[in-house]
Amino acid sequence: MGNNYNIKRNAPEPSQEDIQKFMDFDALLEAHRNAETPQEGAVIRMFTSPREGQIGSRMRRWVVMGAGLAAAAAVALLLIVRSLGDLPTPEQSLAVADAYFAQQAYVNPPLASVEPEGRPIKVNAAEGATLDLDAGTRLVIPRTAFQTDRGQLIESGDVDIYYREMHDAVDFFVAGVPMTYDSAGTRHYLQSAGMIEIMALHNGQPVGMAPGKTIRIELFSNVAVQADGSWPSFKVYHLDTVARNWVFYGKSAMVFEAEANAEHLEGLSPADRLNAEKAAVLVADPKPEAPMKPVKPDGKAVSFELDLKDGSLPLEPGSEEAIASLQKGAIWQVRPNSSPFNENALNLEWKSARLKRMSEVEYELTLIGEANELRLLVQPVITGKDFERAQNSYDEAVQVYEAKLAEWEKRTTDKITALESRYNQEANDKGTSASTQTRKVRHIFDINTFGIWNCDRPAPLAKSSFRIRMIEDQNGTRYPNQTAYLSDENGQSIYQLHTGRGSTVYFDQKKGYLLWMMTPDGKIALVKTKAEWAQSNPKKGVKLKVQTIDRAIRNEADIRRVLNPN
Amino acid sequence: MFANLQISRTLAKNEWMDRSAKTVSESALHQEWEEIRAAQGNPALFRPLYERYYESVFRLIHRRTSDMELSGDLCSQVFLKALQKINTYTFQGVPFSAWLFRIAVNEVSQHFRQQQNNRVVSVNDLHLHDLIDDIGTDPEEMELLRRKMLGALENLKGDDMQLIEMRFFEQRSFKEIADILGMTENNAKVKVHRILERLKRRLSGG
Repeated sequence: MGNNYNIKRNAPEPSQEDIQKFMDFDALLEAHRNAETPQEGAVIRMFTSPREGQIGSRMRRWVVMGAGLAAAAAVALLLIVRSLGDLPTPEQSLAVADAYFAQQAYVNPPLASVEPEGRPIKVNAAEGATLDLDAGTRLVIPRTAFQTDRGQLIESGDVDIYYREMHDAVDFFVAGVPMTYDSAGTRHYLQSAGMIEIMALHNGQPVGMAPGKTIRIELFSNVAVQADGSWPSFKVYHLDTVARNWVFYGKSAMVFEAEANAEHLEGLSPADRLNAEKAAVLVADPKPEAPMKPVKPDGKAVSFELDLKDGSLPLEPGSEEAIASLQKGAIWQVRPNSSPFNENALNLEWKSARLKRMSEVEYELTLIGEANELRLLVQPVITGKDFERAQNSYDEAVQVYEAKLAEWEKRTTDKITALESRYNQEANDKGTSASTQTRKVRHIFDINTFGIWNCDRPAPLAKSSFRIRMIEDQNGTRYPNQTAYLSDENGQSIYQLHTGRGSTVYFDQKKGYLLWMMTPDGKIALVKTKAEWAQSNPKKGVKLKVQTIDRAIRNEADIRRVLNPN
Repeated sequence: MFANLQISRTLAKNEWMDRSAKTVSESALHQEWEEIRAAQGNPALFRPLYERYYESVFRLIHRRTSDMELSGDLCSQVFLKALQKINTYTFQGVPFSAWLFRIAVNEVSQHFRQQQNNRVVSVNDLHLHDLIDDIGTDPEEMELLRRKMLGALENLKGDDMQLIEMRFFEQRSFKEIADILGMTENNAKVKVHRILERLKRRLSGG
C-alpha cells in the first residue's frame, strides 16, 4: 500500500477569527513594492490612435525577473575585462548583449514621432467584410469574428480595424520589430516577404478574435523565381511578445499574380501550374467548419418555441442542412434586424416551414400558410439546463473541430508540400541556368489572433563575421551601449545588435550591408560594411567609423532619404 | 399537422452560471472584472479582492498543510504572486477566485516538493461517507470501509487526489473544479468518474 499523503482525518478547521489574524494587506502591498519590480517588456505602440495609451497598457508584459541583476553582473564583467586590452570573449560580449536586450522593450520603435498614424477601417461585426486595401492586400473577415476582453461575442455594431504592412528594412526599423528567431537553440534571422500588424477596437475598447474564427490575409510581395521555375517557400510566424520570440504558425499559400485554372494547366508556366494545383487541393478539401457556440436569450427580444425536428411542421426542401446544425433544446429569438411583424402571427396555424442558415448565428425562418408567409430572421438560443448541456456539447465539438482542423492542416500541408517537391524536382531535372526573375506573388494565410504576423523564411546567420572594438562618428562621439541595426542590400530583414565592445556582426562578404544607429539628438549615424573586416583579428576587433548624417528625422521619408540616398 | 408556437419573453431572466453558493453570477463577474482592472492600474486597489478571497484561499491551503503558520506564509505568497501577475490576468469568463486557487494549489505543491514531504489531505468522515456512497460498494461495516478507502486514497496520483479532494472533501462543483484546474467541466466529470471506478475496484479487492 502506498503512502503518498499525510491524511488528516477530521482535523479541525480554523475559525474565521484565527484566519483574519494573518490578514495584512498593507504588508502585502509593501512586499509588492519592495519585490523586484517587473518591467514592461513589450509595449507595442503600433498606431497613433485615440486609444494609444490603452493599447500599450494592454500589451504590458513581464520580462524575466533576473534581467536587471544579470545586466549589472554582465556590465561588471565587462569592466573587468576592459582593463585587459583585448576584447572580452564572444561569450562575455554575448552575455552583455543579452542582458542589454532583456531590459529593452521587445518591440521597440526607435522613434516614437515616426510611428504611422492609424486610420481605422470600420467593419460591421455581425456581417464581417472583405477589405481590399492599397497594394492589392485583401482581408477577409468572417461574420461575428470578434469578442470583447470579457469573452463576449460582438454581434452588432462596428469594429475599427487597424492594419498596416511592413515590407522592407525601413518598415521593420520604424516598427521596432525584432527579426531574430531562436529555434532549437539556434539563432536565425527572418527574411520577410511581408509583415502585418493588425488589431481592432469596439466602442474604443481593444477586442480579440472569437475562438475558432480566423481572418484571411492576402498580401503581395515580390519573389525571386529561378530560371528553373523554383522559388523559396515562406512560413508564417506570430510575434509572441510574452515569450519574446516568433512562434511558427504554418506555411503560407503562394499564388503568383497570373491567374491559373486547374482545368487548363497546359500552356502555363510551372509556377502557374503549381499555383492552380494548390488551389484545386483547397477546393477539393475545404477547411472544416467551426461549431456553433450556444447563446442564451437576452430577455428583451421576442422568443418562441418551435421544434422543427419533431416532424410536427413539414419542412420545405433545402432546409435539411440548417436543421442539422441546430442544438438540442434550442428555442428561437427574433433578431433585431428582422422586419417588424405582428407577434400574434406566431399563434396562427402554418402549413410548412423553410429554414435557411444565413450566418453562424442567424437563420431565415419562413412560416408558410395557405395564402401567406411570415419571414423572420431568427437565431437559436438556449436556456437553463439545456444551455449547460449545449455548452458541454460545444466544448466537445470544439475539441473535435480542433482535431479535424489539425488533421486538415496536416493533410493539405502534406499535399501542397508534395506538389512543391514534385515541381521543384521537375525544375531541377531540367537543369536550367540560375538566372532569376522577380515575380509578384500573393501570400495567403489565416490568422487567429491580433498582433504582428510575418510571412518569411528563417535564414542562418551569415558565416563571415567581425567584432566591434569601438563605434565612433566623425565628431568623436562614441556609441558603446545601444542598439544598432544591420540590413543587407535586399532589405528583406533587419538585424538588431548591441554596440558594446566585442559584439559580433555577422555578414556575407559578397553583399553590401548598412549598419546604423540613432544618435542621442535623433539623427542617424551609419557605415557600410567592408568585406575585409571579416579578416580582422577577433581579439582586437574593428573600430567602426560611422558618419552621423546632419538631417533631422521627422518622418519615414527622412529615414529613407538617409538610408537610401540614391 | 400544425405547429404549437408559444411566445415567451421571460426565458432569459436569472442567468446565473450556477446556483451553488460557490460560484458567482455574471453581473458579479462583471463587477469583479472592473475591480481587477482597477487593481491592474493601481496595486492599492487590490484590497477588495484580497479581503474577499483571503479566507477561502487560506482554508484551501490549510486543508493541504494542517499548519496555521505555514498556511499564513503560503497564503501571503499566493497573494503576492497574484498581485505581481495581475497585469497578465485576462477575463475569460472564469471567476477570479479560480485563478487564485490555481496559484494556491501550485504554491502548496511546490512547497511540498521542495520539502520532500507528503502533503496533507484533510478528510472529514462525513465527506468520506459521501465518497463511499458515490462509489456504491456493497454494504459493510462503515468504519472498515472508511479505513479501506483511506488506504485506497493513499495510492492516488497527485492529479487524481486533487480532483477527489476538491469534489468530495471540499464539496466544489465540477464547474469550479474545471475553472481551477484549467479543464472543461465535462473532462472533470469524466476524470472523477474514472477515479471512482478505480477506487471501487480497489475497495472490492480488484
